[in-house]
Order: sequence, then C-alpha cells, then structure tokens
Amino acid sequence: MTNMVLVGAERAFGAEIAAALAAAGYAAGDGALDVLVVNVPVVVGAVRFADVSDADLADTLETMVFGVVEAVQAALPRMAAGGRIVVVAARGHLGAWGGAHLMAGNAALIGLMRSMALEFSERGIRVNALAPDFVGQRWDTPAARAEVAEAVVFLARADMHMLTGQTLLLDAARSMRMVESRRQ
Amino acid sequence: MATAVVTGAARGIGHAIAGRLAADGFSVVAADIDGGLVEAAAAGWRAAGLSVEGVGLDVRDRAAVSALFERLGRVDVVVNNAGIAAALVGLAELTQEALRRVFAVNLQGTFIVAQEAVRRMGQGGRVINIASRGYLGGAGAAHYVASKAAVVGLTRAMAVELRWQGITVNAVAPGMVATRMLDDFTPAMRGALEAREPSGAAADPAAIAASVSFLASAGAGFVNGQVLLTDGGKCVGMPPL
Repeated sequence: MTNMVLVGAERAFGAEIAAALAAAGYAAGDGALDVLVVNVPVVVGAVRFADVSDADLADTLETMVFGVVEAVQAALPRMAAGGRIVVVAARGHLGAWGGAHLMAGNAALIGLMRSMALEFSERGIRVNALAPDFVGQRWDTPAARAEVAEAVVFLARADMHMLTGQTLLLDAARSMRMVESRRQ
Repeated sequence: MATAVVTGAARGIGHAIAGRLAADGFSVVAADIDGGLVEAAAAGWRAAGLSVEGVGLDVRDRAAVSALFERLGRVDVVVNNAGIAAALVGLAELTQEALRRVFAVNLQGTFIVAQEAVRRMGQGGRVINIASRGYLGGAGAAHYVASKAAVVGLTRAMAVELRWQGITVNAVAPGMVATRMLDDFTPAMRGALEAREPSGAAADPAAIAASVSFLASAGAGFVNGQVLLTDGGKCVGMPPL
C-alpha cells in the first residue's frame, strides 16, 4: 500500500483521479506520505478582461495559489525523500481567452510548482504539474478524463527519479495550433 | 503628446522608466505609493524641461486607481512597475500573510491598473508589465516567483484578447538590478549573487528602462504577448514556463 492524499477530489477529474490512484495501489492512510495530488482544474468562463471583477481574481488565487500552498504545507511534515507532489491545472499558463484571472492563477501555480521543485529537490521530493485542456470543452469526455487521471498516476510514479519541475501538456496539441488566435 | 503612466516611479526601476519615457517624448504620469517622493522627482524632471506629473497612488486601491484614470481619460502607454520583493523563506515557513501581501501588489495591483487603463483605451495602446527573471522559478522565493509568473500569465491572456483592439501587452523580466530590493540581502550574500551575474554586477535600472522604451516605441507595435528577458543572458538555458 502506498499512502496518498488527494486534495480537490470534488472538482472535475477528481473522481477519475481517485479511481486511477486506487487502481495503482494508492490509498489514504496514516504514516509517511508518498504522494500528494492537488487538483485545481480550470473551467473557462466567457469573461472579457474588462469585465473580470476583483472578487473573480481573489477567488481564483484562493483556490489555485493560496489553497495549494496550504495543502502542500499540510503534507510536507509527513513527506520524506522519495515523495511526489502532482498539481493538476490546465494549459492556461500559456495564455488563452475566457478569463484572464484564471490564466494568471494557472501561471502562478506553474511558477509555484517550479519553485517547489527546485527547493524540494534537496530533500528528494519531486513536484510536477499536469496541464490538460480546459474543463467542459468538446474534448472533455469520460475517456479523456480517464487519460488525465492516468497521466497523474504517471507523474506520481515512484521510479521516475529525474522527472521534476515539469509541466506535462495533455491537450492533443491544441496549445500548439494557436487555437486562441481566432477572433472571440 | 502621447501619455504614459508608470507605477512605482519614485525609485529604482520605475524611476528610470519614467525618466526614460519622458526623455522619449511622452507626457508621463509618475505614480507611487510615496506621493511626496514621486512629486519631488517629477519637479526635478520638469526643471529639466520634461513633462512629468507626480501622483500618490496605492495600486491596491481600486477606487483611487479608477479616479486617476477617470481624470486622465485615454492614456497611450501604461507601465505596471509597482511591485514588492519578498524575504527569502522556505515554503514550509511561508505565511499566508506574506503570500497574500506579495500577490496583492505584484498581481492584483497590476490587474487593477491595467484594467482601469484598458477600459479607457479604445483602439490602440500599450500595456507593459514588469515581471522578473524569477518567474522561471527560484528556491526559497516561491511566493514571489508565483506572483511574477502570474504577471506573465496575465500578460499572455490579455494579449490574446486585446490584440483585436490593437492593444499590445508585453512583459519585461529584469534580472538582478541595483535597487532597494537588494537591501534584503546581507552584503556578503549580495556580493555572491552579483558574482553570478554575466556582467559581474547588478544592472543599472536604465538597462530595464531601455527595454520598456523599446516596447513603448512606435516601431514595436507588432510585438505582442512577449516576455522581454533583460538580464544579461543569465537565464539562457533555463526552460521557458
């Protein structure tokens, strides 16, 4: 049995991630923590930059930055060398239409992940991010969600000792096609 | 005469940017949380024949920022430079207070100023956000890094949307610059950090102002959504975010 904590199980992908981790032999339990998964996927809202409110931005930061820091701080005392942290966000750090606050929060989370990867490398803890496409788009099928969950299991693998500080884009090349370049 | 607003303009990089844009021919509104200091700086520039108005402004104060841009009307260039450093601290010891404080200025302040400016821009305009080379990652500075990564993310998201209005949104990411932010380091630590810079020393703020001057210039209108790393090349080799 391998100990894990999943934060954000109630959000999109949460059920699929929980199922995939269970199938891979992970379970929540006492004692040393092997894996922390923080699931904060991005659901794009059709909000123009001019219409984003201060509360929109504050709420996004609460979830995608301040809450993630809290989750990591809670897990760290239980995590020894060999521990893995995986954050699930979206491809929004690259810039996309539909809520600049969400993209800024997404980018903050990737910056946070890279800093944690550098800082925690000294204690043998690896940190990576998964960046699928946005929740609720046409790609978002049960099969695709299962793929997102499998990618989380991959990033959480115990034997990938050199894999840290990375953002795994899982978006069928949508971010490479400049899909955001059409007029909105 | 085109108008440029520069935040955090009383000292350091912002001071250099305000002076440079004024010398480039902009009518500059130099804003800073220290109103007295920025007004004194503006008086100095005016004595040198430049067009600079100094105004006290806390970028976290939505009502104050809104009132300033309401008074100014349309501005051509806005430079979001106001920002704070954060003491080096491991993530385990990072307090929510320190985390929220750095985001309130560096990200939320940038957002408020950019939004109030863009709402009045109509067609055309330039937004230039001062990020940091640190956005690429740094141990012991996760909160500062995340806030600057967020500034870059905001820059890209704004560029995606505002290009249809002819507004460009870019970021300048300085490396180590000789400003008050370096006062956080002990002399020994500062010396060690400077020795790692390609030039062997912290950069003059004028070097950062030169990048801003380029992005604000007439010829740079086709540059959009970019991060102009201005650090002497130290970050070359690091993977982009």
